[in-house]
Amino acid sequence: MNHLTQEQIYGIIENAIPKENLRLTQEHLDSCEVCQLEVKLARLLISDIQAMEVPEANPGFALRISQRINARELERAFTKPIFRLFRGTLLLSLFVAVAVVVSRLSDYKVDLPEIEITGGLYYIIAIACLSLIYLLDKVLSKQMK
Amino acid sequence: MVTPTEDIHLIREYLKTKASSSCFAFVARHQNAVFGLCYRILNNREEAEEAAQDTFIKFFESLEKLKDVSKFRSWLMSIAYRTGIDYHRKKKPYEDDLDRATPLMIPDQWDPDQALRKKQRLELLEQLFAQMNPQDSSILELHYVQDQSVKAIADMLNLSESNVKVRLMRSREVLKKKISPAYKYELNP
Repeated sequence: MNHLTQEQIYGIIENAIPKENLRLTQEHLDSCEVCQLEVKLARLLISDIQAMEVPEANPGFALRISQRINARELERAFTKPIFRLFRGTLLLSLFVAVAVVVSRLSDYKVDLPEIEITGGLYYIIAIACLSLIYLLDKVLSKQMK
Repeated sequence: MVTPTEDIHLIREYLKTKASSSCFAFVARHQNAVFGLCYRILNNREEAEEAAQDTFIKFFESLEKLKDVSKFRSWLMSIAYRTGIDYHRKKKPYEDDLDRATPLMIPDQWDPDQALRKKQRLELLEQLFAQMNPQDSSILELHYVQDQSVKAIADMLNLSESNVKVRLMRSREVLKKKISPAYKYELNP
């Protein structure tokens, strides 16, 4: 019989030699010093690979991951189409509410000692309010991201 | 003891309730396997930790796509492998052929103390693993350290079983060729 192949050598170490070949392989190994040395070397190599140190993850790793996953879940919930629709509706309602209030107020004249608030000024205040609402929405959506 | 049944229970619970406790318990059970594989690919603790974190996040985000929950481990490790490889590609090109990599500095004199000799050999092995193609080092890590079968590795790395066997054989051969002088003392005391 020829010397054992690498497949047979590692098969012996990993107990993966098919039953029908086991007897012949073992007989050869018992009588061949070259193959005994090869098996010994392979065993040492595998045992060293298994002994190689792999550092463990830092303490708190699992906690950090679960917190990150939770935060992402929350973020996903806020960016779902239904929430975007809700945000859009809320924004539109605020716009309409401001418009209604302004249209009502523009019929009145308020005389303050220093400034006279007329219809035109009401519209400027309305535009400022709408811009504020728009900016607030932008800030909120940025924070969610 | 880690049993797949407990893992499947944790996954089902997470899918149902999104509870962070089930997520935490699952990560705690698999962090060393995922971190170990990422470390073997990247050879750097910080990068391995980042890759391992990304792995778990991708895993939980894609859980709903996993049709057969019992195959979670293969799914998790394949994400870990792909994430590790992505990080590695960003880092630097690797020497694909270990034969052409930097030669090892094997000492002429070996310490008579067995434990110290082993320590020296492990340092040499670390150097060899760092020079190795990450696919080959991953296969060695999964097979010999994490005790995964050739079939399981083939599933995880999206390779054929014969390809895994060939790569395993080849990397063992090259490792043996490179490091066998370091075993001279053990073979002929």
